[in-house]
Amino acid sequence: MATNRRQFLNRVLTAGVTVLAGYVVYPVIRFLIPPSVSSDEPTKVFVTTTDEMKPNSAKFFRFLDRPAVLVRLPNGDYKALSAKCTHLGCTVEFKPAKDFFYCNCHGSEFDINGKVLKGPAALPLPVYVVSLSGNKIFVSIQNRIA
Amino acid sequence: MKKRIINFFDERIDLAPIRNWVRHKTISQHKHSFWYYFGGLALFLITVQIITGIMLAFYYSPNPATANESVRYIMERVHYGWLIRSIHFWGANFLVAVVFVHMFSTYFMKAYRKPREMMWILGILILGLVLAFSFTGYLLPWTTLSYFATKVGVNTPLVIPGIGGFLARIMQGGADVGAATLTRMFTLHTVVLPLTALILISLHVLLSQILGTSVPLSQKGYTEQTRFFPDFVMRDAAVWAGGFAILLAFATIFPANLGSKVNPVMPAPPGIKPEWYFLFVFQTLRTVPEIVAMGVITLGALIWLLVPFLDKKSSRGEKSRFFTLFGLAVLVYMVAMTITAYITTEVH
Repeated sequence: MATNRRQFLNRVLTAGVTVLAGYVVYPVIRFLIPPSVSSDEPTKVFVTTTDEMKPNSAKFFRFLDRPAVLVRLPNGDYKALSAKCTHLGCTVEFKPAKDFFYCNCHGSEFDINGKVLKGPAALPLPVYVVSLSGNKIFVSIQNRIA
Repeated sequence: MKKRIINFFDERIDLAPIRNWVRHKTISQHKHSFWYYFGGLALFLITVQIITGIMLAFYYSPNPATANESVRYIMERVHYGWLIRSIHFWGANFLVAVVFVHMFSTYFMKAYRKPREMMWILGILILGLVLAFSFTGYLLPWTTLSYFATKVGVNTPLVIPGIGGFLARIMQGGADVGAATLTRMFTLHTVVLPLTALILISLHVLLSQILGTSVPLSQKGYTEQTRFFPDFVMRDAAVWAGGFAILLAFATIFPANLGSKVNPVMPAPPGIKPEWYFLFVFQTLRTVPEIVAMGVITLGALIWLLVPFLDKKSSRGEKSRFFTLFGLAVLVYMVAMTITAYITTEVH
């Protein structure tokens, strides 16, 4: 069936309004999405000193805009991991008696290397690099000499 | 004096059609009419929440450095601040409970059947809004519990392929729950959701006036008509007064407490649980992988929303046993998961 003048104008008008709506909606959605974390976010931070870390203890700190944890093992080694549970984002707790991390929100467990011991979490906790400079402890995402 | 006021308006706006409508409007009364009062009670509680919410907003400060302190200030320093916040706190709990009762009673009476499909859909959307109000309001006191509950809530959409990250980022306003999340939740709680609720509730109430209350299939032929005004309105008012009395009693005897201010770096405390109305979701998330939990809950919600179009028997005026059993299964699942979550506390 041939399109008459009225139908043609209606279609043109509908298309115009749709494009106009897109022009309005797009900036609104873009406005609501927060800008990405700036690239100058430090990838290496000073956490504490060796004097403050007793064996079998943990210190929570903020790294890469997320909670992180530094653990001093009974043998004196240090481990640093993201403390954000990979299930739904709660901050995990360090259990010194068994050397593992437990999430109080939904019960996930991770070993000292971040590996999942028990779900519902499926992914391991990201591990960071620990470096010492004198008695200062640094954590980074790259293996640099402090 | 009263007559002069009425005449003043009558001369300017013709009120006769409204007077006639009120005079002639009737409500069907039957054995199950009691359940319909929950709809009016929900509307009343929403009004209470709006009034107390506006009052709290006079003092509340949506900033991580001051949010918890401002709520403490309301509770401890502002005259009757504890009462207003307690009414708002208990009002939110009552509202969720009353909306759930209203929804399930509507469901089991099959009041969603033709021609009231749109009322059902609007009602389910309003239930979603009520839960969204609870979720967004929960973070505002900036306590340990509210912080981690929000963390779980905003991270849950991450499992949705494609748009999950986008949704989580929009809700969080950043890489993690923080100051941006608090201002977003406050804006949603006090501006976006109330405006949306105003539109949806107005449409829901308008449809209930146009279509009238539904009569259950089992009650066809056993109904009598009651005048809307003053008979039904007076009964509704009595239910509202009773509801408000119970709400006041709860607010006074069990005032809302304020948890400790969150330290976002520290671990979530042991035994952490969400509010009772999210416990069935919490328990589902704890039991199965989140992708399965989200899939089951989303699919269930979609089926629930579309029930009026799926239950063709009810629309034809026939009994639909399957949908009664389906509703019972949903109810039993929610109650069982809630109880399980309530009684099981894993503390290592």
